Amino acid sequence: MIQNSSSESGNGKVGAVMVLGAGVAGIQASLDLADMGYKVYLVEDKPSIGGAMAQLDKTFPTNDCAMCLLSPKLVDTARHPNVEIITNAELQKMEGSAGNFEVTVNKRPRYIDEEKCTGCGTCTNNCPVRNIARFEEVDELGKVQLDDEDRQTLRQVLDKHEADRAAIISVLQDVNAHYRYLPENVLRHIARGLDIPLSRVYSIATFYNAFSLTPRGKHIVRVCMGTACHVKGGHRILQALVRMFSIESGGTTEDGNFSLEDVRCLGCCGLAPVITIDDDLYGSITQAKLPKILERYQDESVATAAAARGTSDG
Amino acid sequence: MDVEHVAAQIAKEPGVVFTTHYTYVCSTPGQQMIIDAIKEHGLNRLIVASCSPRMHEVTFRRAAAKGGLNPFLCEMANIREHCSWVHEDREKATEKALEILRTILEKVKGDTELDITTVPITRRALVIGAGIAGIQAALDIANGGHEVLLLDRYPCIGGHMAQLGETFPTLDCASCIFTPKVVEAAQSENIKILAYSEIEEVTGSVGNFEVKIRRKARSVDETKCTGCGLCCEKCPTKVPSEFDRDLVMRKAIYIPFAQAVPNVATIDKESCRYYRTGKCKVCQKFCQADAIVFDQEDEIITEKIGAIVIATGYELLPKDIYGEYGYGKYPDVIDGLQLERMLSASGPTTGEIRRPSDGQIPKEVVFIQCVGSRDESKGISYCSKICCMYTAKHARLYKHRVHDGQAYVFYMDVRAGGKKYEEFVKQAMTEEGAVYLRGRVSKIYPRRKKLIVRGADTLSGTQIEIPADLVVLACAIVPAPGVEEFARKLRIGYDEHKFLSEAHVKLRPVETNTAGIFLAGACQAPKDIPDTVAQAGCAAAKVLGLFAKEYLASEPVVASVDEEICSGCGLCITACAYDARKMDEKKHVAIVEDVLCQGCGACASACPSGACELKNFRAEQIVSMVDAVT
Repeated sequence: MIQNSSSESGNGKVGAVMVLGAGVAGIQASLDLADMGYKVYLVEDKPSIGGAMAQLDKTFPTNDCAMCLLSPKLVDTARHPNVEIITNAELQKMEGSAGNFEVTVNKRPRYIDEEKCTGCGTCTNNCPVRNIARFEEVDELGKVQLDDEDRQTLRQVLDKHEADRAAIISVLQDVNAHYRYLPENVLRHIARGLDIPLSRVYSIATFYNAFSLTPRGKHIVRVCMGTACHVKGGHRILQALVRMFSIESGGTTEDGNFSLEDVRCLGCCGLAPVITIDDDLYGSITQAKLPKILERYQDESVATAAAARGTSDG
Repeated sequence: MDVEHVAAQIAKEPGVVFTTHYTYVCSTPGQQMIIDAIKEHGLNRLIVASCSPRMHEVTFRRAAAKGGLNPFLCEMANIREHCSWVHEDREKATEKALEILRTILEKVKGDTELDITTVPITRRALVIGAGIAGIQAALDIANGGHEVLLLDRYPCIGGHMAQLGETFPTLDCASCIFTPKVVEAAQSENIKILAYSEIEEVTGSVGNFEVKIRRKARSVDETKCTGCGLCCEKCPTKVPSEFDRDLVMRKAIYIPFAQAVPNVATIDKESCRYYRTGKCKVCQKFCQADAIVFDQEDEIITEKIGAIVIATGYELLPKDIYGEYGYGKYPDVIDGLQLERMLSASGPTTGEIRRPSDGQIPKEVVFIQCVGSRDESKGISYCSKICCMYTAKHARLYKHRVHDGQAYVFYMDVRAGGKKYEEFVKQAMTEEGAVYLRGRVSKIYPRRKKLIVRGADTLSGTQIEIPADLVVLACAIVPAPGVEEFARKLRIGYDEHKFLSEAHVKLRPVETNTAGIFLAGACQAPKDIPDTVAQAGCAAAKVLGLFAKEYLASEPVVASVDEEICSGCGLCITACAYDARKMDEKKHVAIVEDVLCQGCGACASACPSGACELKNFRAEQIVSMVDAVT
């Protein structure tokens, strides 16, 4: 931003440039400018330079390793006498015009004396607060945030299926039955535990409608929208339920008790219109019958029984 | 590992005077420790056993120099990345560290003092090719305060951008944004335009090239010609105009287009009646400035240059490669640049789209994308990158000109990656009503006044035939002709498609493998105008960076030749990737150009007689290093 050759003094311009952002773009610009003899202030929001490229594995089209390309540049930047790296900082104010900017940068406290720190890493190894994933957004077992109870449950489920990859669907069914949906961190944990790519777990979890990635209610209310049920007023039943629960189809009530779904055909057109609640079937439904039926599922004991049976719909 | 043990053990080796250990040798007190030790013990060699030399070799060599030691007598033993970080077994790692140190000890014993040599820089740049890339690079270098020679093989500068109508994605007129740049280049005190010129020979190296340039004879005195155009009017010979892509005729003496820079006439000797038959001289008769010089000859000039930017641009795939499209056979099958000339307000149709065959306004136009691009059967595996965008632009501009017309676009995929690009194509489809058909065209044939375009719509799975008035082919982008010889003259590489090779596809995209030669624009790969301008600016910045140095410092770890042993076989010259090895014809020995040598050692290993060695990596050093391990 501020630019002038340091060798040409006396024209009133400042021979220094500020580069905002220290990814590969900012680093390359800084190195080129510094090699030309300009003083460079390289400002970065994060605590270290490198940006997104430092997170990459291989790069197209040559498939060479991103760090092999980037790290020599990081080193060059760090030791270049013309580059001053200002990390953990952001631009606050800029005044003036080309050739004479005055820039105020807010350098947030690091609580570490950068002059003294040698980067040995002893402090980070001994810090008791762990599991704050930030830079390495990876699904390593230790870095997935799970509380002990979750960990225990998952251990049991995985042990039950002997951590066999082929049992992925059974594992997901058990987890789904336990949580009534598949939480993201749990899926990451399963992917690690079964040594299956997370993308694969995700594809299975989204393929079967027995699984849900969002929390579902204790009881699943399904309204048949097949031809026979439709003719007999299935959609009016659905509308009534939408009003009663104050949710759209596919949603879950605020108290987490009911999830509402519409399905194509439940295969018992003779009983139309039909709804199912968990594994129980109710035929020849009218709007008037609904409150009474639903009342049964407000009862805690029924709810537990239903949960124990699982919520699979095949 | 046990560092104390390593330090104590290595102290017992012959030749070792002093050892110590410290946690952070690279820190300021650590470096001071080194400086003090050199002075106190009068050390004449230094080994720092720590991290990779990539990390801190510079740091420690600087410290050695401060202590009064030649920096090239300081070596690093990498006992971190190569040892402590990768081994679990403490005892064995300690043993390995000692081994590493013993080898480096052998190396440092054989090291000799080396000096950095300096070479002055000629702060003058040559830009080859004066399209948008070359002009942008020339302007940026000139504005940086350096002299630039801007060379083009055609009679005027401007390149392909001067031919364009409007440009995507903003649809601003190409001339409106480009002409000011051309004028600025023409008026800049720092830019010398050498139009109608070609490179004959390039010698020398970065900072100090010597370039021989052939200034082709125009048969017109550039200093006298006023560009009045009277000669062109009177000339009796007509030939197709290259600038207007053969849509109209020009004369044998011509100025390519009205705004040409330099605005001087040129005689095309191949078609000129005087040169062919010895009679005519009509132009000379009418020239009021007395500028016609029939016996003018090519002139070879020699220029000293510090850096070269290559911006030789592109051409479209030759006409005849797709016989089934009838390009060249049916006049109403045209290429993208021909349509550009029609769309240009200063073009032969003053901006109207008309069929070349009968001048009618076409009501149905078929655009075919990927003509050659991504077609391995034609030897072109790459995507030409700009055709999706310019075809969408053409379809839109056609609708702007012919409101009741219908545009059809045959495409393989629409690749519109770029700022506001996808939106631009969407607009062509939705607002301008261009019909996009996914599939290839198999044949074009005439029926009465129409051209029947037969192709497949792979999305609906049907064969379709469209009776078209005009067919526009988006021909593949190929490099400008003559790349092989040109690249050989400049000692740079090119890929299998003859696009010039950059030094590193990601990290050094504008540099070539020859130091001091840079690339800009479509000569490196197909590119649109924004990318071209960005790359040209980058190439210019690299040149300015080079010129900002006071002198060129050459790395002293280079190859050397023992002239007593050298037999002059020339194997080293073939082995060298940097053109740093040459034959001294008088002595008949191979020599090293220190400035060009990158110290890779390829020549040293190729040398059959052991005459060639890399300084401080001599064979006896390496052998004793190997002996130290076994």
